[in-house]
Amino acid sequence: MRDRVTENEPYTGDDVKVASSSRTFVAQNFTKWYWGLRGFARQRPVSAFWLAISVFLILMAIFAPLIAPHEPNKPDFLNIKTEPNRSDIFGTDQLGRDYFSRTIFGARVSLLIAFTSVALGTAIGGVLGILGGYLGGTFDLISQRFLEVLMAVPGLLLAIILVLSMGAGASAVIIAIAVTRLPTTSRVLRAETMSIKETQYIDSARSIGASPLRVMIVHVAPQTVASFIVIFTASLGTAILTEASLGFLGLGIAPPTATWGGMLGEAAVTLIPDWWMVLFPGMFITLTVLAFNLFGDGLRDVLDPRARGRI
Amino acid sequence: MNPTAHKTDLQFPTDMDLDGTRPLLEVRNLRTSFFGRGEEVRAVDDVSFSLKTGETLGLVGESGCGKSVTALSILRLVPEPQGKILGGEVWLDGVDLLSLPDEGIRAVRGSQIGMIFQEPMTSLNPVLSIGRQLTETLEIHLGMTKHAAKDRAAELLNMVGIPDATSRLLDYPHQLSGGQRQRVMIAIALSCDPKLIIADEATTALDVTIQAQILELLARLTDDLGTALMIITHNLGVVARYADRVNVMYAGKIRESGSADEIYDTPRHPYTVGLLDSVPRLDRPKGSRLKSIEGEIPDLANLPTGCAYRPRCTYAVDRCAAENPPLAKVGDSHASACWEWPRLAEEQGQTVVS
Repeated sequence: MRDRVTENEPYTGDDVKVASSSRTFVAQNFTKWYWGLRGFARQRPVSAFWLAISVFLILMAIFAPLIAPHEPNKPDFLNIKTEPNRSDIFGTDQLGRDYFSRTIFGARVSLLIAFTSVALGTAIGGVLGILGGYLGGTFDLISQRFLEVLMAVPGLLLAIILVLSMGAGASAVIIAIAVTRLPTTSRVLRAETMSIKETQYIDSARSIGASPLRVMIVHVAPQTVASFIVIFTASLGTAILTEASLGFLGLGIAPPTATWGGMLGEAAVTLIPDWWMVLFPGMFITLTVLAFNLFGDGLRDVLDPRARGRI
Repeated sequence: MNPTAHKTDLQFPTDMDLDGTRPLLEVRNLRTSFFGRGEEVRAVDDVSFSLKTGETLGLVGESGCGKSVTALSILRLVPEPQGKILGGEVWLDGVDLLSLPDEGIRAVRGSQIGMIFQEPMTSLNPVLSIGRQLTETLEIHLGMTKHAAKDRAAELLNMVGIPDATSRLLDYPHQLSGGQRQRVMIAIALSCDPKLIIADEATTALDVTIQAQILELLARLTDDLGTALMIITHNLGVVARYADRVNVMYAGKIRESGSADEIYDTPRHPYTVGLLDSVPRLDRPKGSRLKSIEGEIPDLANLPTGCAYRPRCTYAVDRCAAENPPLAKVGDSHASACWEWPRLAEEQGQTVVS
């Protein structure tokens, strides 16, 4: 069934074009985006569902002040650790703060940190990868050895070390998570660049007098956009997990700011934590990671012409 | 930087072209090798030739005999680090391209020398529109504004015979046929009004009728614009029709050089004879078998001693194994690298001009 749809679906070519066009998207390519999304929804309905969840979570984070019924950081000592009820549908924490509002505001921190750190990490990693793959030689050698050192240390451990050395705070967390994203991105884009470099259109670009920088920006980079998008999406899940782990360990954003990891950490202080204090932040972490990862998987299947037709 | 200063060590084909006009392109003693697994593959071994303004030169030979590497060496596009230009000079209009800095050679590529590659299917970037790729050359070399470049690009597409040019600029390579893509490549090569166009097997990947159209177009445009053209091909028919001069290459060296008429009517090298015999012809008696050259091209890393063509040559004598014949004058503007060319000429029943 799926195979048939895949074979007869002519949109995928356009979809690649959508992904790699360098023009300003929204206005000019509205129709293209519409058809791209429609095709994606048809070909990968499950991934499209998770895309919808992702979008929902992002909107929730953006409009948190409008959605949250209470101040997320306002203690209410008369209602400490109340079970979910009509006014506090996720219950309250040890300071009587509304758990629902905190969870919604927690999405802001998680998503903001995840997006900025992943954007930073994959962008720098991508640039290193393309430069190394295209130029080769000493630059490639040195940058790759440096990244291999990073790769040798487990991501969370690396992030902990970096946060500890920089001191807790939003920027430290962002930089720490970004660094853990460097090796993968640069490895993938480097390999891709090396194969693109051997194609004839790179020769023909050089034969019209394009400088190495120009060849990389105009001819190599747009080809890697598909991989880049997939790495970006897949990295989001990991970044959210790392951020939550750091928050849980008390190395994330300082209290009283609500973060999912931090909320779990506060709940875990008690010997037997109250179920709602663990369930809701945990559920949202799981949901977000799942949403980004499964959407990323579907995106990879659609954008990678070699994987097409496989499930 | 004046090429005339080098007159004293000029090699044969260059000498012969001295009829007052200085050649546009002079390649002298060019040597390019590839290194790998401890071996040196001499892809271009001491090649010299020249090309006048507006002239069409054919570079002919089997696959792997150094034609393409010669072209890539002229533009210094030999893939590094495996490939290396080991020596020689390439003078274009009084400038030695091999001694230019990187920025210098980039300014020459595309603006003074245009190149058309073999595979039109792969030599255009699949994710950029035709217009974007056409305007790129104009932006790099002429510093044109986007708007002006777009107009010029449409004009160029028109010139190479693609109808409805303005709207085709938005098309992507996969929306064009092979022939159309090669037309776009020609437009890109011609866009900055270069002095020389190198067509490296430009029509090999196209079907025969399109081949003729593309060559006709290329010949007409270079004629109109006064651009010199270097056709690299293994198709002798193509060369016969369009080239003024022909260089026959084998195993990294030029074996015979002459005007197209000389090469076709009075070939003076057994390899050229072999190539000509292996072309199907209408004037041959019906039912006669097509001749082919026995054996295959030698391993360029382990060339036989003496003449590289010796193992396949029916004219080979003892001397061929001992000494590699130099390119020597055999006619007015005709040279051959063969010891036995007088015998060859006699056998063909032609008078020997010495």
